[in-house]
Amino acid sequence: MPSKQTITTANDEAISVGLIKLEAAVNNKLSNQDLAKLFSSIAINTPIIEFTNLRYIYLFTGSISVLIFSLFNFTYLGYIAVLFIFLSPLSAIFSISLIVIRHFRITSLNQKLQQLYQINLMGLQAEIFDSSAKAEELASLYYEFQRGNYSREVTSLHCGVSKGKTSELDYQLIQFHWVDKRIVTKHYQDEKGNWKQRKETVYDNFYRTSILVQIEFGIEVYIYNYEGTYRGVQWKSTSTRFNNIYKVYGETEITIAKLLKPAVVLLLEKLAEDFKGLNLEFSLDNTLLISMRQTDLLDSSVKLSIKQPAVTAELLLEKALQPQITKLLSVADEIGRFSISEFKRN
Amino acid sequence: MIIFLLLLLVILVIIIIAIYNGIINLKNNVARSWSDIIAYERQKIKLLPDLERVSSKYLDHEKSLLISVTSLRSAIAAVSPGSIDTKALSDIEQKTQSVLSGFKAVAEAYPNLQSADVLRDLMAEMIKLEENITAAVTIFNRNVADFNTGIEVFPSSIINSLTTRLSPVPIFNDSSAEYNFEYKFNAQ
Repeated sequence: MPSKQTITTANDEAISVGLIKLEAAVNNKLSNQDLAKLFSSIAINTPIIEFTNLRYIYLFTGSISVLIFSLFNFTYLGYIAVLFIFLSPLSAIFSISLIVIRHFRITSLNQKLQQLYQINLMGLQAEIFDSSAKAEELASLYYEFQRGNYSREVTSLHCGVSKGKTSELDYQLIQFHWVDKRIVTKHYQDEKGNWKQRKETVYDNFYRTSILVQIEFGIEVYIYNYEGTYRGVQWKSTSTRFNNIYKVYGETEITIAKLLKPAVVLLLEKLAEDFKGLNLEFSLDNTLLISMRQTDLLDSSVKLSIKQPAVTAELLLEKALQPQITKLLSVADEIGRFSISEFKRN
Repeated sequence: MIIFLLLLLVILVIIIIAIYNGIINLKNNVARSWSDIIAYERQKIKLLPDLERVSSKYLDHEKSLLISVTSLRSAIAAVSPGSIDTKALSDIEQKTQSVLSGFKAVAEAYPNLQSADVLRDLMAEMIKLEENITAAVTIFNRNVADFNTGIEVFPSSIINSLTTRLSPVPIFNDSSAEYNFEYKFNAQ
């Protein structure tokens, strides 16, 4: 059991040293095993990573008290009051800023650590790319990325391999951000009470996540829940529930019917219960792009907290579940299993 | 007053037409989903000769399986996509289960055969067909439920009795086939 720490400056310094090491480890994208080792070593000297802010709370309270005292006794204190009125707010701002900065340093590191842990769990490799150029490249290949009349960018891209029932799936996890620019007319009253109107430019920000999976056949079929621009032959399933969720377009009705067998139809209905704004794009270049509104596909069942390094070291070695991305990859695999024989015959 | 009554009449006619079209749509959905089931059932007939060919050497010792295959083939040929016959479908599914378990038993009894990739692929294809039939039956049952509700609730029931006079369709319910299709995601 970690012993309770005494409130000392030395402890804060040890925490700072520990945090610098952790920040470097996260930035260098260490493996979960290496991170666990680092947390274990930090836990020896720093069982709890939490700054002791009590001194700064005292400083803040003292400064505010001095300020109030100086304001009420201005006439008696004279020039000293002016000095206090000038210095005490600075001291209060300094102490509160330090507390906030320390808090955000830990929460930000915690978020980065959680993300790295999840990426490591899936064995994903981060890609280096130009965000706008990549978005344009993807837009030339997939309708999903032809969004945003003002700007579009790929904010992150990771590559991975997943073992399916029938084969291994190479995939990319893509975070996409786009901005739509629109002009709105606003009505307002001037000083005289007359109604007038003015035009304002509004920028709407949108975020979506996609997984781009390599499959063993190439067809042109688009299944939209969220708005899409492709229009080929429209097809309707015999399932009313499916038709209410998705709009399906493709090169020919036969191709779509071969792909959307009853088992796949039910599978996609089920998938729409878990993911909002789901779109599926099958391309001739043997890829399937599944896109949705969620941005937390890598969320795992384990939540890390750097405040307790010893516990974090143990959790880092756990093979936690990542239900969201696992479901999507499983669906891609199942669609492949049901369709491969159909399209390979051609 | 006359204009008001005419307007009311026009609205009434539009409502009747909309309900009538709704019933026809529901009926067509049931018919389409039934055709889907039959189409998948018929695909089994294409697979059966291959299954027989691959395991022909061994089928001489498994007379009962040969009989089951013949019986399944004729049962599938007898059903029509035009007329809904859930009893016949139930019969086909029971026979399919018997044929599938028969082939499994053959594969287990003759290890050399079990190792044959062709038989494994054919069995996998048969299982996929069964999964699709299961899903197609789920969709059919949903459509039947929608249709039955559509012709039984008021005022559709009146329109139905005055115009189409369609009867409720029985839902397919067969315990041996276990048609409660619910897709479960794979564990990674």
